[in-house]
Amino acid sequence: MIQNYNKITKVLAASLDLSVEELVRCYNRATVADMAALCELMCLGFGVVEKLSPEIIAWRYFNFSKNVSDIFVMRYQGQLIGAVGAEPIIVKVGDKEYQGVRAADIVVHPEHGKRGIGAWMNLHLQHTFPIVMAMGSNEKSDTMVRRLFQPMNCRNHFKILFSIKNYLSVRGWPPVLINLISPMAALSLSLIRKSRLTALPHDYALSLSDNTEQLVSFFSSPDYIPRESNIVLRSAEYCRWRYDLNPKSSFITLYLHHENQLIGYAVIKNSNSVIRKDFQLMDWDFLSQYRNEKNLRIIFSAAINYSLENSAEALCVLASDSLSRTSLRQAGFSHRALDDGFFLFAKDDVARDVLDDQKWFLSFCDTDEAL
Amino acid sequence: MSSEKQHITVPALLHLVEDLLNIDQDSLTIDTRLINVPAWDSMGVLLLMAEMDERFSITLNEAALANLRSTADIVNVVRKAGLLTE
Repeated sequence: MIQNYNKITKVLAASLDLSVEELVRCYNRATVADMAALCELMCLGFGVVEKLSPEIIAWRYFNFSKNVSDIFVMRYQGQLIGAVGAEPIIVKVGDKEYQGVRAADIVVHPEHGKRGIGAWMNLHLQHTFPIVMAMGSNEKSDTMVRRLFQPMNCRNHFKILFSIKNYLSVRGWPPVLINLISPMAALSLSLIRKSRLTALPHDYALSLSDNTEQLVSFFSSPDYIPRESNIVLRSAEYCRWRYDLNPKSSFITLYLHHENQLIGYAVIKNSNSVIRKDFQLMDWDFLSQYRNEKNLRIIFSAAINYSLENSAEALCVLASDSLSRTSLRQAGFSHRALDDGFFLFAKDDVARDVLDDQKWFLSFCDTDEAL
Repeated sequence: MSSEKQHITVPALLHLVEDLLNIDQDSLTIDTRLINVPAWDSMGVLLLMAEMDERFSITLNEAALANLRSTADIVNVVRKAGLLTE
C-alpha cells in the first residue's frame, strides 16, 4: 500500500480541494494550543469521555517544556478533523536500531469520516517512519488496519502473560466456606499456597510507597547493571514518568531491602475500577548480584500478598525473560499466552527479521504497558 | 496514469469495487448499501478514489464521497462521466 502513497495522497488532496503540498502541510504535530480542540475531537470520535481527559492526553503525548507532542493532527478549514498518536519507539532489529512510532488513538471528525483521511494519516506515518506498529484494533478499524499493516503472530512469541486470578479468588474465600465445601480441598489448597508463597527472610525488609523516589539511589548504585533484555531501559527518571506522573493510574512500589540496603523493587498498578479490582505487576528489578530466582520469588510473593490484602481479584503480569517466568510460575502464577492484535509495517530497507514470525518479538517487547 | 479514459460495464465495475475492497466476488449487487459492507472504510474509500482517478480520471471530492451510499451511487458517478457501457 505504501507504494501507492503518492497516488493516494494526490487523490485525497484533490478531494479536499488542496494541493499535495497543502495536504501534507495540514498534517503535523499538535501543539499545546491544540489541546482543547484535540480533546473535543477525541470525545466526538470515540465518545468515551472519561478516558480522554486533557490530563491524560497531555501526559501521554505532550512535552510542555518544548511545546512538542507525539500526536499528529490534520487541520482543514480552520479546524482539527483528524488525529493519530505516534509515540516514538526504538526498535532493535539485529544490531541496528530504528526510530519508529506506535500508532494509536486514531480519530477522524465524524463529519469527515469515510473520506480516506484516517487511512491516509496512517499511510503518511508509514511514509515518514521506517517502522510503524499498531496494537489491537476495534471492529471499526479492523479491516483498515489489516490492509495497512502486517498482522503478527502473538500466540507463541510475544510477552507471556501470567495471571493469578483464580489463585487470588480461591484465597479470598472465607475458610469456613472452603471447609464446608470440602475439608480435604481446604487442606490441599492451604498446602499449595504455603509451598508457593515465599516468606520474607529475617534479614530482609519490605517497604511500600506510592512513589518511586527511592529508585534514584537504586539506579545510581554501582551495583546496578541493566538487565540484558529487550525491555525499555529502566531509570529513575523513566519510572517517575511512567508511574509517579501517570495521571491514568495509581501505582504502589514495593521496595525490598537486605541488611538495610535497597536491593530490588516491584511496581504494582492499582485498579481504579469500581467494578472489579484487577492489579497488574508492572515492573521489577534487582541489583545485579541479587537478581536471582530466590529474590524474584520473594518480591513476587510480596506482590501477591499486597494484592490479597487489598482485595484484588486478579494480579496479572507480563514477563519476557526466562528467569522471571520461572519465578512467576513458582510463586503461583498460571501462564496464558497473549493472542491479541499486533500489527506491523516496516519499510523495505528495514531488516526483514522484524517481520519474521520466529524473530520479530525480540524487537518489540515492552513497548506498551497497556498490554 | 492511463491517458485514455476506459469504459466499463456495471458488472465489471462491481467486480472492480469488490477487488478494491478485497471482498468476495459477487458479494455486491447494484443496490448494496455501503454502510453494510465492513470493508467500506477509510482505506476502502481511499482505494476507490485512487482507482477512479487512475482508471476514469474521475476526482471524488468531499461532496461526491458524502453522496456515496450504495453501489448504485458509484455506478452513477461513472455513468455521469459518460464512461459506463450500458
